[in-house]
Amino acid sequence: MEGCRFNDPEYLALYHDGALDERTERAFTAHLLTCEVCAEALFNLERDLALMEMVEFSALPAPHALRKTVFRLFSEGIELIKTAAGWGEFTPLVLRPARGGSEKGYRYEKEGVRVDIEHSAPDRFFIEVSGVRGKRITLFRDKRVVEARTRIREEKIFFRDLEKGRYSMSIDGGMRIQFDVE
Amino acid sequence: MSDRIPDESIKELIRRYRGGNEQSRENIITALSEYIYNYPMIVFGVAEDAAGDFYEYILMRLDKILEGYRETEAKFVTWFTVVLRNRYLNFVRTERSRHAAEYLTQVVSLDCDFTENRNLHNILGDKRDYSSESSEGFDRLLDAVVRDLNARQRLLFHLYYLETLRPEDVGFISIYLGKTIRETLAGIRALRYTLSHKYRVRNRCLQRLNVLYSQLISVQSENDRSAAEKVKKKRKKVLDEYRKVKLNPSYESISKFTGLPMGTVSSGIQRMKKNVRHYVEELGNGRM
Repeated sequence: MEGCRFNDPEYLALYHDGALDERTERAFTAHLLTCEVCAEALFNLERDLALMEMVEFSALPAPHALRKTVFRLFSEGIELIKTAAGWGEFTPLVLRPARGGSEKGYRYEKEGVRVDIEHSAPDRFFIEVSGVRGKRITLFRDKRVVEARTRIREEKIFFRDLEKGRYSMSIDGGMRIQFDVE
Repeated sequence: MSDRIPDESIKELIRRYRGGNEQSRENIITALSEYIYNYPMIVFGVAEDAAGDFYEYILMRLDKILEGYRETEAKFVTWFTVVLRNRYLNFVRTERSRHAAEYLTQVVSLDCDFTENRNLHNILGDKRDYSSESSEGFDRLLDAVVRDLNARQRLLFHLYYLETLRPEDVGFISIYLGKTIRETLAGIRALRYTLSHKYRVRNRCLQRLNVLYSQLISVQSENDRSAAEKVKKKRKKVLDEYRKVKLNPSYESISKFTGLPMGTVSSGIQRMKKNVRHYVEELGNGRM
């Protein structure tokens, strides 16, 4: 990526995503036919993006791992203490919000599936998953399967009496939700 | 693009970070971690250890990298991927100069045995080294292979042996089909997507090869010959599995991309293979 005035990630990204104005795009297209450096960079970008989208990711090994969502479990409740905004954000579930009710748990919602995490007994919590009819769900704690359900007939299912640990849930082998409860 | 790095969220985090919100920095790292860590493993087939080193290398420079980002209409992930590739090549250069001998011994060799596996796939299917800055040997091989093909056969060759594609070939395809480079790249991407499963299988094989290679080094250092033999056998098995993954798009998808009728694509590929095979046989008879 050296030796060309278009030697710039921003320019390549704009071209790749079709965000250049028409005139500049035409000029750059012509440039690409004669500039090996830019052609190579653009070609590599296409392949890199495709591979990064197609191939499944490996989890970061423990020393590098960063926890995205962390709940703290108390004897009388559960509290969200850390979340990566925008990534599988859990939002508070409030009982009777109009009357100033307090949080009773947290909700994650994506692609028609709703995952509620709520305190149940001292140092225990449960997960309620809605919108799962016909789906397949596996719940893991510390990389071990807690429970796996296939071809679910009900609209919602429960995972009860759960204790602290690092949880992940896979839905239909694709969508993945991860959180820690400490 | 998938939501591995959701565009609006990351842009918002960067805005917040620049606005002085310290918590956003951690959230940015969280959001990018897996992408950074997996990048060299998926794109360059490196082992987990090296991917971990690269991850640390990027984290140490993340502030500087983000300083260079200017929000545009392009997706953040597109920009970031260009940056990661440049950084990865710098990282390799640095590592190479620091640990020259060690670096050389960590390369997983995928060279095919020309005498035992003399078929088109093994010779052409997986020879491009995407991590190499110089690919003269590969270029020579491809130039020689396509030299005697007519334009349509050359087009079919490039699309059928997708992993051998070079930037100049993309230029050729673009001119032949009367498409812009960006349209051509989008078409190539669509062809790649038809091979998603194979790319995944191949990557898993690569990672297993890396693990077995580490095991081999370890048992060899302990002078455990029988364990080394076992690992070698396993490694050969995985290597065979790896080589069986043929990244050739279907005739149907090539027909869709080129606008050529299926029959033309099918017969064209057969003819192209025949010509290429002839060349490969010549290679086997003396030039390699």
